Order: sequence, then C-alpha cells, then structure tokens
Amino acid sequence: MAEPEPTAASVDRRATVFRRLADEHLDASYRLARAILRDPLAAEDAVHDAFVMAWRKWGSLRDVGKFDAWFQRILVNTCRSHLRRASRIRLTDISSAPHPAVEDRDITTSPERQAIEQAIADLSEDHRVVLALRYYRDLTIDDIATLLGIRPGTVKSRLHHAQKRLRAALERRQRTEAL
Amino acid sequence: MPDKDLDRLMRDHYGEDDAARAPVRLADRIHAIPDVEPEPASTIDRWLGRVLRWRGDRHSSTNGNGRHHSVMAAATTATAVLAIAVLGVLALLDLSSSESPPIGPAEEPTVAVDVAPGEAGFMEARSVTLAACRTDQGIAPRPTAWREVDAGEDSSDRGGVSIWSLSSAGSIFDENEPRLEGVMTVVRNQSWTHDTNGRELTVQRNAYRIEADGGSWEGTSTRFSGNRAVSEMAPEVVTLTGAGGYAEMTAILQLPASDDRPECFEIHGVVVEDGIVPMPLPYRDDPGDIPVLVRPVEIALRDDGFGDAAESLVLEPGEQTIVVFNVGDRDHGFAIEDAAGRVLVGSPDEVIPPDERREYVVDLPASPGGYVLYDPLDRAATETVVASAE
Repeated sequence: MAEPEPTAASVDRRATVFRRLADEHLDASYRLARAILRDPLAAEDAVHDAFVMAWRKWGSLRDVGKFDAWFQRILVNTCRSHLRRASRIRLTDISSAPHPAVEDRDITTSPERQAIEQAIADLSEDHRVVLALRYYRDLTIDDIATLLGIRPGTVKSRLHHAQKRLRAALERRQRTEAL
Repeated sequence: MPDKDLDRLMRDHYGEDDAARAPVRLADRIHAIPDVEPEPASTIDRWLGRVLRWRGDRHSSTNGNGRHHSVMAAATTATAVLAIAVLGVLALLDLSSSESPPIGPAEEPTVAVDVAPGEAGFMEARSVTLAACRTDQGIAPRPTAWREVDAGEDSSDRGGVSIWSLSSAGSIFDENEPRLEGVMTVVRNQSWTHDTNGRELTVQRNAYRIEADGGSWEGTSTRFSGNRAVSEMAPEVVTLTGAGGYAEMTAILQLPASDDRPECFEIHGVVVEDGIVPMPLPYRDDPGDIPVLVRPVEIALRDDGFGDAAESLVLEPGEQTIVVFNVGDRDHGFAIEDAAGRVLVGSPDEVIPPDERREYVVDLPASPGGYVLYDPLDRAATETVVASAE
C-alpha cells in the first residue's frame, strides 16, 4: 500500500525536527568530516550533502532516537564519496590569492604536521576513513565495522596497513632530519 | 616507531580538530535544506517562488553524423547531460554579489527555461534553450547553450546579457515526450573576488537542484568572470552529485588557454563512477556558424583496469583522440588492439605515471568485433573489450 501523502503540517513538523537534530549534530559532524577529509571546505560540502541525503531519506529513519548512528553512516559514506572523487581528480586552485571562504583553515604547518598530513593524504579512502574513526572518534574495531558495514577483520587489516604506511612515512622524515 | 608512539602522535594530530566548529555559513546551508527540498513533488510550487517550465516541441533525434548518439549512449546519459545542463543554466544566473550572499528561498535565483529540443538559435541571458533527453533513468535536461564573450569584453559591464549558442542535441530522445515541467533552484551560492594588481577575477560557486519528471538532481558549479585572462587560470573542476538513483559524476571544466576568449570554458569529460566518459559539446565560434567540436575520448586507467564506464564505451572508427588518465597508484601502460589482434595504439615501453595523462591520436580501422583496451604491463588484469560503432 502506498504511503499517505504528507500534509503541510507533517512536512513542517519534519522540518522542525530536522533542524533541531541538525543543530545538535552539526559541529560534531563537521569535525568528523574534517578529520576524514582533512580539508575544511570539503568537510563543509560533505556535511551539507549528508544532511541533504538525510532529509531525503528521512522516511527510512524509523526511530529519531537513533538519528546519531543513522546519520553518522550517511556522513561517512558521503565523505568516502568525496575522497573517491578527489583521488580521481586533482583540484587546482585557480589563483594564488587567499580564498575568503577558508579563513578558518588551519594553517599550522609544523614539519611534523605536514609529514602526517602528507602521509594521510597518500592513503586510500578506506584507510583514511578507518584512521579517522579510530583516532578521532575513538571507536572500537567492532564499532567501526558496524558503522562501515564490513567485518572486524577487514577493519583490523585496513588499520594495520594504514599504520604501517604512516609509520614508514614518519620514519622517513625522521631519517631525513637526522642527516 | 613503537605502536604507542604512533597512537599518541595520531591522536594528537586528529585532536587538533576537536576545537573546530562548523562555520555559520554551513549552519545556514543546513537550515535551508528543508526549504528547498520539498517532498512530495506535488508541493514543489508551495516551496519555490517560481517555476521554470521546459516547453518542448516535437523534435528530431537525428544528430548529423551520428557521433553524439553512440558516444552519449555509452555514457550514462542522464547524469552526463545534466552536468552540462546545469552549467549552462547556472552561468545565466545573475549572481553578481562579491560577498557571500544570504542563503535561503528568499534569495534563490531561479531561471525560466524554454526547451526547444533539436533546434538551433540564439537567446539572451535569463532564457536558455535546453534539449531534454529521456533515458531509461528518466528525463534529464541537456543544454545546447554555450557561452560566448567577445574578446576583451569586460563582463562586469555586460549587465548580465550574453549570447548563447545552440545546437542540435541529438542523442536519446523520446519524441513521444515533448513536454516537460520541472523546477530548478539554487540551493546556495558563494562568490568571491580575487584582485591582483587591479585585475579582478570573480568566482561563483553554486549548488543547485533540479526536479523534473519525478527525478531530481543536485550539484555544484563554478563560474568565472572578470577581466583576468583565462591563461592565468588553471583548469577548474566542478562536481555534480547525483541524487534519486543517479550516479555521482564530476565534470572537468577546462578554461581554454587563450586570451581571445576571456570567459569561455569547455567541458572535457565527465567522470561517472569509475571512468571518464567522453562528452562532446557544441561550441560556437562565430554567430551563425555552429561547429561541433569532437572532444577526445577520455578514459580513466586504474590499477585494476578501466572501470565499468569503459565497458560501455563505444569507439568510433576513423580518426580519434584518446586521452588516458592514470588514476591508479602505480605506473601503467596503454594499448588498443582490434578484433584481429593488431596493435593499433601503444607499446609496452611507454609508461604513464600516476596522475598523468597521455593523448593518443589514432585512425581506428573498422572493427566489428570491437577493440581491446589493456595495460601492456598487466594485460590479464586490465583487458577490456570496447564496442565499435557501426
């Protein structure tokens, strides 16, 4: 049986609830997207896209109390899509002039941070996502597996390879500094 | 480096994000979502101020040399054509503020669009002729408009009026579906101006949404204006995110390196999922003369092959430019054989490093059995049969 047509009142109620939940989760979502994407502007777009998706898919959220886990999965998948696109296409800034929209960009550029950022940037999307969920969100292996819909063994494997690459990159830098 | 040191380092590193807060503009964007995302579709008019109507007359699906048809058919057409449609329409919008404007329904620019598929002509800003394609995924608009700005013209004084060129869209039309109705709205837009020694370049980034025929699409687009020569700019990339079952895609927007056309741009390809598919476009060089430039076939080469998009590719016999883009993590090669096993392109000695492109110009012989694309460095993992157009 087809679902009844939503009334204007029900749509308004939905919008109210949506905005409230969005406010509650906005900062945390933005931080998670930043942690995965390592870019404030990309994080903004990913969060926006994820909320658009959430609004669209609202009907699949059976329990508003589970919004957090439901939305987190949407957000992580959206971030993965962004990473996938970014890996195929190299974005080139069209000007050397500063970008007004990135005034809040973190400009800390210590050599160590640069080395870590570069090492993370060189990782595959899967590895980057797992790293962020592990080190930023502090999720357990099982929680990450549930969130990503993969087996815990796969999470462990990805984490292991990501750590191995990071370690190699950081040790390379240390050796270079020692010379 | 011991595990605990790496753990500490990474936690410290990610911990720097702990203090980050979502910018106010992002909160505004999120808050605007319910205002511009109506459901169900029957309430669209209540949500949006103005409706654009796509009025299509019965039209011809012929495309002259037949080239568009085969190429577009290979390219998940609904998504591919939309990339162009939106770029075309958005470039007409009057988004002249150099500040990030308020976001929300009250500020949304909308456009009126008349559709006359298959026809050619010229129109002015705020009214653009689109063609529409019906595919197995629904109806997608396809613009036949392309911006042309006179050499040396300062776009800031143009008052928003510009001439667009139109051309027959061809491709997959359903002549039994002449009338469409849909809504396009700009969800958000940003604009900023670079000023370098008095030469300004304004960049506008837009996000839009189109709803038509029960489907909807979303994406972002970038527009340039100002009096800076395009040769000073690097290629820009715009990204379109499909919705309602449509694939994600990215259009590569390349500014021609010519000072003669300070504001022209071209789209060279559309990335649909795993591969880049060709996107030939009409481009007007001179009023009254509407040549169709044949764009190179662009193919993404990954570590495990060419992706699903290449499998649906149809190559035209005859002179063909093929651009291979190594999107993998290691070196690859590229070769083409015809059905008889003759090598037409490539050699085992030629390597394409990661992130690099190679362009091959080849006169492909007719090959009823299709062509075989492969990486000579790992043929077994990459071999893909590509159809030949008849």
